Amino acid sequence: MKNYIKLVRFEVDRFSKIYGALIGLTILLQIAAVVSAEMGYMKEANSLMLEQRYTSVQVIEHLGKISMHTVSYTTLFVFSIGIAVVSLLIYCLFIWYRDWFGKNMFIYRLLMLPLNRIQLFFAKLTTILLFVFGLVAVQLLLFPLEEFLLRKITSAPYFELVSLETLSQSHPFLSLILPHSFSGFLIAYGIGTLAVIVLFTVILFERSYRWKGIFIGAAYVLIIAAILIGPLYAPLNFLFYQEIFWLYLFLSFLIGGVSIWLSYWLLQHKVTV
Amino acid sequence: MIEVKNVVKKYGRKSVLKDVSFTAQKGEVTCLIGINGTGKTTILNAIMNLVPINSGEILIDNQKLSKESYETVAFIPDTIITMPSMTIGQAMTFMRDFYDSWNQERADELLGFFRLKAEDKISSLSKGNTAKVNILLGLALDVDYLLMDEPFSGIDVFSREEIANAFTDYLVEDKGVIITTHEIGDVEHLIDHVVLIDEGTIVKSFAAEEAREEGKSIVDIMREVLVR
Repeated sequence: MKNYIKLVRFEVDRFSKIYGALIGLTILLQIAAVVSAEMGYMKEANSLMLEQRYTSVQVIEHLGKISMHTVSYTTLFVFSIGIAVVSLLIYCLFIWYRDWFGKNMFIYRLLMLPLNRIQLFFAKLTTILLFVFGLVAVQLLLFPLEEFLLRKITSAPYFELVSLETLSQSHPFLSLILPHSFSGFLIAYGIGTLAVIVLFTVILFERSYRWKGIFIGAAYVLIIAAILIGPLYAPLNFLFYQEIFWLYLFLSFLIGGVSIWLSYWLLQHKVTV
Repeated sequence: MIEVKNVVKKYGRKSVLKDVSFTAQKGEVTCLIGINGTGKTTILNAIMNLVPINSGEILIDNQKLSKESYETVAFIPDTIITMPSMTIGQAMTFMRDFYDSWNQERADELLGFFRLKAEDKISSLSKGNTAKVNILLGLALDVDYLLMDEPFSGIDVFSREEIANAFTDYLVEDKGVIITTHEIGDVEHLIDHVVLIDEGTIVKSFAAEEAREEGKSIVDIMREVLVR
């Protein structure tokens, strides 16, 4: 356990500078999104008032009020979330491959550490999850600050307060990142964690069997897809929603368990420097 | 004792090691020699479970390699295995954090011996100095066995002398060493046993003392066998 914590700390340290920059970029982009959304709204409002002689009530009737809902649909806001998600997806690959490639083969050292090699797998997985939850936490903290900023820069009649809960229920991205129920959280982050576990297994197939490993990994993903999609086409009308949920939970644990066992076996017996 | 028994290793259809068997005793320096691409590095990687073997068995003190073995066997590969963004001091701290066999006193001593600075970044070091860091990190472990793959590769003559001196000073008598090197002359006086490999097969295995008694160098014998 002590070694596992040391490994997690080490992995977090390795990405901390880039991660810090990613958080900085997210904050900057989202603040820019707030400012640009307000400027765009007020420009349109002013043009309606000047050119069409609208009153502020008519402007609000025509445009609606500006809120964090408006901000969350701006390109900059969506881009800020997109760039964070894509960066972490790329990092899921990079967290393994950087140890093999380049002038320095750090994988030699990692594989020769006096610990069970599956701890490397769990340390890298934990690191990814910590980074994901770190970004979610930043988003949770940013939201009220952004709303405060929007309120400050917008003329009072045009501003509308929207709770994060309301926003996350309707927003296509935010509803995934910030699920509004505990079961929603379990489903979204459970599927995400399972996807990372399967991706790590596929990477280890590739690192063990190289070209052949890519095909084995692809076949493994197809089998998992078949297991997960299969029940959708099976006559399960006799099952209640709750029972289907438990069936998928069981399948997810099965896939996760098998993937971790395969990763353990590959790390222990097949992986190549 | 490290026992390599009937080891076969294939990369695709190509056999890199063909039924390789030899033993390396504690307290002896065993030198694996052969021209490039004969499988010397693969043998060391296989001993450390860094490449899987197709068949055969490798035992360390009659046991298969386990996580505990990494506390008793150290491997110094010919590639840099520390993170370039680390300083030498950080690399040493990393080792201290994970290895119970890490000997900080010896590490500090070797740091001075190689005239390296703890605050220097690995990425800023010359090839020779990075090789010295690799060797430092390996020699500072209190292990029973030490595997070294081309420790002199690309290193200037003065640094080679320093490294060879470090081997003499720090390799205690009861340690078992397996070394592969093309610069045999630098360590010939330390070698006890020689395993000559050609195209993945052991073609000759002999005590270095025998060669010395015959007034021959290890390279002479290598030439006799391989040119035949």
